[in-house]
Amino acid sequence: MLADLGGAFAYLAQPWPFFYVLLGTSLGIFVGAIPGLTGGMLIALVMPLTFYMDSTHALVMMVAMYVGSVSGGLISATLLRMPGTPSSIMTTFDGHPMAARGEPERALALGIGASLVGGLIAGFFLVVLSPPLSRWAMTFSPWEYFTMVLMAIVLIASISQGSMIKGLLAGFLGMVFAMPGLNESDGQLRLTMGVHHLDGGFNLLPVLLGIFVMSQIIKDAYEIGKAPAQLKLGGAKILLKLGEWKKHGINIFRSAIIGTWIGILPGVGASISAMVAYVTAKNLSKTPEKFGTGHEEGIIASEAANNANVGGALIPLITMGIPGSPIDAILLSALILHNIQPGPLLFLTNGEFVWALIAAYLVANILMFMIMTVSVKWISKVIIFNKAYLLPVIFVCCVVGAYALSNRMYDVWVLITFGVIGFFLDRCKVPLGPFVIGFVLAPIFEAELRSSLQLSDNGFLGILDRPIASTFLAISIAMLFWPFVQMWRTSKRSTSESG
Amino acid sequence: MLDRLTSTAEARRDSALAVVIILFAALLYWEAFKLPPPFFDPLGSAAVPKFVACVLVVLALMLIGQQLLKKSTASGTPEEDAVRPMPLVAVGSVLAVVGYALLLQYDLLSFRTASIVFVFVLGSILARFSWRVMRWILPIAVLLGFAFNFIFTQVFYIDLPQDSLLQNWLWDEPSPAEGAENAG
Repeated sequence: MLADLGGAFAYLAQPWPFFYVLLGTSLGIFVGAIPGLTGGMLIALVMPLTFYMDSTHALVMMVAMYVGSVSGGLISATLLRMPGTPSSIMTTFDGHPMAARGEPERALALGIGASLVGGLIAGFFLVVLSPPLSRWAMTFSPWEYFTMVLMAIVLIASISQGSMIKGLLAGFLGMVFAMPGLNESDGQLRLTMGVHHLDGGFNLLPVLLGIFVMSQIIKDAYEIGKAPAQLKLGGAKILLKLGEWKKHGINIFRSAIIGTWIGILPGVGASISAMVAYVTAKNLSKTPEKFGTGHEEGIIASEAANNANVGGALIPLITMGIPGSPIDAILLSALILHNIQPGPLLFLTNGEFVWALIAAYLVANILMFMIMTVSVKWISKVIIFNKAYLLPVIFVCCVVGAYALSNRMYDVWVLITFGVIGFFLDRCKVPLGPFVIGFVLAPIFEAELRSSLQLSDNGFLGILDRPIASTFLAISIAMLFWPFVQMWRTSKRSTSESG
Repeated sequence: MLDRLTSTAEARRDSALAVVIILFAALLYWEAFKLPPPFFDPLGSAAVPKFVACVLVVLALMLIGQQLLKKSTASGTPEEDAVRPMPLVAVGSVLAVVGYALLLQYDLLSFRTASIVFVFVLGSILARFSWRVMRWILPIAVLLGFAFNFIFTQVFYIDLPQDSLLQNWLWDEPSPAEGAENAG
């Protein structure tokens, strides 16, 4: 393991791989800092441009973008009270008040430091857990994969922000749009309604670009309004002394563990881990009343957890081919586009590539710390772009990205259609993360279910012969019904209190 | 019952969403119903679409049920967006993108020219036709049109539409394809 990791670091020390990690981290920080743009958008936009690149270079750059974008959201969350990415929402609660009372540099320093430590702690688990998990996943039968995919869809729906019903709706809607085209099992065309363009179904990239990028751009156009007021940075250093971190050690470690383990849960993103870590820190704090007023513990909990989530989410992606977050769903599609088959055999068939990704994640965290410490004052000056200049550029990149896939305007129309669908779903407060997860996982869901039934003599009862599959199924059912149980208990409690 | 479903903006949106989902699921089930039964396959190509259609209907009905069971607020206050919404800007943006796609689809303009026009038009819409912003958008659009064309075709080797029926008609020049044919 250490030898493999050392080899990966040696690979990244070469000029081109290092350049791509540096470029990815820098772009990720910059884009993550701009309100309205996210790491998912950046990775989805860059993906078609990497067709002719070396696969390892492309994927290490995208992983670095992922790390950078999650950290970059801290800048606008602190200075503008607008999270640059969804994962920085909790940072606005304490980052901006601290900045507003004259300590913006301290707020940023706390966030950057917590991001580094959180990311490295998750990196430790990524290194230690990935090989054994991958070997364990190789023992899975189709039943385990089927129930794990089901658990991923139910999990992201039940934990996603807003209503669980809408989360499930989004997940299953995503599955619907993955179905048109040729069914591999019997060679039948289905759900094409006589439209020949649909014989090949909807390509993943235009759907991703539409849902993640174009819908957000339409939303930005809808809410174009005035530019937010920005707090300015003074001359203080964006670096704290080591001694100042001692009192935050437990909070950082706890938040990083929360972020890592929530990241491991299939389908759940960084915003959820930041929320859970923040609430946990508040509940366990000696001064919970200070949360929301510019408290250091709040910033640290949120930033440590959201960065740790990135490393945690890479674990199921690398070991089982199941995305740990919506952005990992985009990385999964990048793997497929570069002809790398995700799944538990990835360590066997492309071991060097996997270790390069893990090393890129660790190096990107360190580079993120260095870049943000040195350049955050410059970045803060340029993150308020007039959207009239920025959005058309992104639109053009989306159109080119979709067109470049197969040189067909059909994919551009798919992009536009899903952009409009994504916008309306967002207006109805239907989360888009589960939609993408459902779209990506639907083929796996159906294929594994088919394989399971073909292998089973008892039909669906074959699940009961597999303890791991039964456990996943039980968790799925529990997560599905837990919100209703909670609602019933709450209404029973309020009835007995009023009675 | 209808009052509960239309009393607030959120209730109206959820109700409309539920109706659209139910209609969509019905269409999905109908299309799946037309598929032939499985032969050697325990599942067939229709089972999962039918299952998902049923789940969507159940979820849509639960959404409606959720609105019916919600206690209505005393004043039925409409939601307030944090930022004043600009629906016309959003519609204009989508129409601009559709126009851009049509220009490329029918080879009316080359990618470079279409991009210049698109960036200028969309930028102007997003600037709400403010002259202070628009005077910068035109030079930016021209610069970006040339830059994008060069970067995407020469650096990333993406084969973008270069032919332009309109330009050829305006300047009475043969298209690149015709030119090559004539030279040959």
